Amino acid sequence: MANEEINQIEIRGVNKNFAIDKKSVDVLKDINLEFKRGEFVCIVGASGCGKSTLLRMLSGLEPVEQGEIVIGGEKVLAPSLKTGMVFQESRLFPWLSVEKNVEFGITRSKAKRSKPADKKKVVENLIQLVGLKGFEKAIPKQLSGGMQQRVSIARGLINNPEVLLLDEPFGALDAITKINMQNEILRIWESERKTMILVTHDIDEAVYLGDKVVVLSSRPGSVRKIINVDLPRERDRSSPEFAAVCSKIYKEFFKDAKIKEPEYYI
Amino acid sequence: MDRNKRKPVDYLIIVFSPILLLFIWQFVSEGGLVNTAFLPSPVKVLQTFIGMLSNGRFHEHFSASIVRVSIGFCIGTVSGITIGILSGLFKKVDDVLTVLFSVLRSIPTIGLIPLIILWLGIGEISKVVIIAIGSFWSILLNTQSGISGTDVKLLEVARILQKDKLTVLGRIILPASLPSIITGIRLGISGAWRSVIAAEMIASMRGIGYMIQYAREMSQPAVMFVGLFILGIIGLALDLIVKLLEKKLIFWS
Ligand SMILES: Nc1ncnc2c1ncn2[C@@H]1O[C@H](COP(=O)(O)OP(=O)(O)OP(=O)(O)O)[C@@H](O)[C@H]1O
Ligand SMILES: [Mg+2]
Repeated sequence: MANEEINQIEIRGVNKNFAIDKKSVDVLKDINLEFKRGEFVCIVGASGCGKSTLLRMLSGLEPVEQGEIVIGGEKVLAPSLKTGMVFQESRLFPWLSVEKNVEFGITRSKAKRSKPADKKKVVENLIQLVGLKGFEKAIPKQLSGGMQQRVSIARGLINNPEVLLLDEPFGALDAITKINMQNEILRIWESERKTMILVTHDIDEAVYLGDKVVVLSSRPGSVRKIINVDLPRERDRSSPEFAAVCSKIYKEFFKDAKIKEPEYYI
Repeated sequence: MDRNKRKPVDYLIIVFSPILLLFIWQFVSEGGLVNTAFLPSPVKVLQTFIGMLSNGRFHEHFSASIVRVSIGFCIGTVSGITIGILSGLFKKVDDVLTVLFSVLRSIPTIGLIPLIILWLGIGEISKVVIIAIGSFWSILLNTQSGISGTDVKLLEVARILQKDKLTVLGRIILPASLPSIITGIRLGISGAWRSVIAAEMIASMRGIGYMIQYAREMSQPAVMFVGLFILGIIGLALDLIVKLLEKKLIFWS
């Protein structure tokens, strides 16, 4: 990145279709997006609109067949350690302790082999960061859903990626734990200054966290609107300004719903 | 819920019903209701057992069977797990073996005994081979299904983290297949135990299978019963041991 980088992430003309029962189904249609380094981006959309698929393409898990995705000047062709991923489910290894699950995230590049002592320190720090000190030796089944998701976030951060992709990381949590986790992820974002791309179907969450909220339309998913959230942090969910941004996004969805299900609004 | 909960009375029934059965058996047999040449009384069976323990006859047969089973089972397990892993990991290996194996494993092990004796003689080797085969298939099949059933979601985590093949095998695929492998081992042990008895009945001069067979020829029904009880108890014990092992090894489930 010798020359001034304008956008760290560029998604250009991406389409995606899957074959379901021998028929090709469009999932994503003509996605064009640009994100800056250090930005917190939230992607909202209805269930099944292709949010996970888009994130999987960004991660390199799902091949990009039409269009291209460029991260840090390089085309995404396969997974890279520069991009971390936290999945919709925590996906921990049930036979490994919290400590070992986080440590498993470390993939040492051939160039710099980390010493065992360093390794231990990094794991310790991350466990501290996600607030799981004292639970190092617990195995996943001994943790609550929220704690499991935090382990997963720690694992996603351990290779110090430049970009962290989060797929509905708080989707399965209760309202209170969710708010705590949102604050936690903001704290991590503020201290680590990574680019974060978080998928959610919770509009309130998107406005609370994002610098930028990308609203996707339902299937096939396309970018319906990009909303910049210029509210100062720490954001106040009860403020009228916050509500105004939320309602702007709600309206985007509402348009959709009105056309599709008029009988819903008697 | 209530149906699964046992009351103290239920435990009494569980303990006393077999004891009651023994008493009835004793009465039927000693009371002359049936010929003791067909059904020796439990007391007679116990006396015979004690006699066999003290004159070393029991130990001779018992240890012969146990040694064979141990060796044969180890061979069956190691080869079953190894081939299972190879065919689970490499589609090519699986393609080569699949038809051959589906035919071979449909042959009951007992049916193979004459052929194996023809090839390998009636020595220890043929018995060990029969036992190995008797445990091999279930271990192989369960290893294969464990490996192919490894959660794709966990494998994706490894892809994201760019783990090498060996790490994926050792730290994800094997632990994920362990429950299935242990199920295979449990079935494999009982397969081994069944095959050793069959092999010993057909061609052997020692072992529990031989002991039972020979007792019939010698009209020693009590010895037959000693053998059968031992078979039952060993089978049960092996099953319990594997269950315990399973609990220890699969601590995360
Ligand atoms: N591997 C696949 N094969 C076929 N179809 C798929 C595959 N993955 C996803 N799809 C389809 O793509 C569409 C989008 O799926 P995706 O998981 O991206 O939705 P999502 O927006 O993340 O939904 P949710 O909010 O429920 O998680 C769905 O209709 C799904 O059926
Ligand atoms: Mg999803």
